[in-house]
Amino acid sequence: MELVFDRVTKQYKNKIAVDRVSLTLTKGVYGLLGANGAGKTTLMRMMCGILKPDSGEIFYDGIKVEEERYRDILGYLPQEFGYYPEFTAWDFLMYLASLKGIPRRRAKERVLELLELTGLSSSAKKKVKTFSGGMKQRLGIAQALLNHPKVLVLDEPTAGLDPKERVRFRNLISELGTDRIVLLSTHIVSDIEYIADKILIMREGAVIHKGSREEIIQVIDQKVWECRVDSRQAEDLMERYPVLNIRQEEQGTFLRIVCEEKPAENAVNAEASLEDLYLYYFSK
Amino acid sequence: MGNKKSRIKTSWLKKEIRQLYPAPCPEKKEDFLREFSYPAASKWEVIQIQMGYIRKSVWILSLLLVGAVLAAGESGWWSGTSYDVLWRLSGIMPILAVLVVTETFRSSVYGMAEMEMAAKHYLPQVLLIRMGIIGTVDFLLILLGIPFVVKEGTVGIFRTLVYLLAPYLCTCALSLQIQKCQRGRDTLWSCICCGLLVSGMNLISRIIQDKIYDIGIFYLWICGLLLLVCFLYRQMKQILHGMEEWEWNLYLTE
Repeated sequence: MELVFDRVTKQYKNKIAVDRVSLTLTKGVYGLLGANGAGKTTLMRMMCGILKPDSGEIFYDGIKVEEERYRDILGYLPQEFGYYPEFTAWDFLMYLASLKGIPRRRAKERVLELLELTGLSSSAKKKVKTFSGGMKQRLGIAQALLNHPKVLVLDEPTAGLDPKERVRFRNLISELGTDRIVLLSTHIVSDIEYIADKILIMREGAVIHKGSREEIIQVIDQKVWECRVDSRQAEDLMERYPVLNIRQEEQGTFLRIVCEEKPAENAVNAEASLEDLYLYYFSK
Repeated sequence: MGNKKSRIKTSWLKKEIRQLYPAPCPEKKEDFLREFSYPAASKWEVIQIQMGYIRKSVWILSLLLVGAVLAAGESGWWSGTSYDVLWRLSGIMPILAVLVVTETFRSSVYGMAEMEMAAKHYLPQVLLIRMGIIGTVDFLLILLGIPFVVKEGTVGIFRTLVYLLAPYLCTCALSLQIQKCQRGRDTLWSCICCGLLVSGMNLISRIIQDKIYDIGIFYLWICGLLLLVCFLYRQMKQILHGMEEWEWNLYLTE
């Protein structure tokens, strides 16, 4: 089970959205982290065969992603999706099951299972237009799982979910990731921290860093400092170093920054987190 | 009697055994089931299912349009020669064609395009199936109208078919081309305008009806129809294989 990206590039007019990305994904959960416009959604769309790369190729076990055989084992949740106005949750899932080639009888069973799994059984006959954002997102997750996908691509799957739903979702994804390739993108760093086995950091179309949480944190390990300084010194430090956190307090300005050496007399080393790494890369 | 007693005793025994030795709950059911590829729907089943997803309004409007025109002629309210019936039917062909093409951009208008494009029977395939289904039914409606035109003997079956197909295919081709270049809900209005334009041209052609339907220039109709068929075939191929050029892809790259 291997999804291979071979020097994949996609360009829109003057902007390179994805820049010669080469990756090999195997079983497990991959978290794709990046700022808006980093190219995450474009990469995911190419992975789903929706967009064609300008150069390079993507294969799953030797099958090109444009082929029907690949789409048969693919589950995709887009960042934004709509619905036909007359559809209920049941209709929505049955429709997508038909597009995934699932026979009607089997589709009914599967839809019932997934409505139960996502806590939407009681809303099965309600129109999707009456759903809250969180309910709609759960419906989107359900449709991605209809065909027992071996490759699951989730673009901002926890958007609109409340904390309880997010925990439920994390548990679900962790289970699913044991025997399939799961790629999820999100701005919620804690989701990736808890679920992902491997993290991919994307910036300006390129994957600049990949590895487990511990491996990628190494970049700023022992380089995260916390200190309390006066406003003049704070301004000076903020100009010179990436700022992870800033807070005005009675005694002065509290700063959490990344730098090679101790930035102030009273600075102490702090344990680096994935959020620190994200801000370090994307606050420049 | 003996058999009946034996059956009752067996079923009682089974019930008792089930109660004494309940079956364990299934474990790893999902893993086991996943070892087998689930039976996929056959091609015919896919087509049948897609028929159910074509809006009822498309069928009702198509039937009403053709039915109303034919009924008006037969009832004597709007009677005339074969050419008059032909002219009336040609006038509604563009509207039927617009109904076919409107099925193609519902996905992008309602934001379903991205999910549909990632499915096994992806969006281009499904659209072509639906256009094919509606097109086939429209063709049958055209065939239904032909006897009303040819009954006087002025115009033959083949000529009638060509005269009716030309505005239909012309509107289909133009509407698909509009959809290739335009995005959003405005596309629907542009396609409707295109249909009304072709229908309007047909209205105006009534003045020169005799010249247009003259047997001497019928070869031009045949050439035009063949060109339209080739153009439509090219467009269908592009829909199936050249997703990048189509409006829903432009919609995705916004």
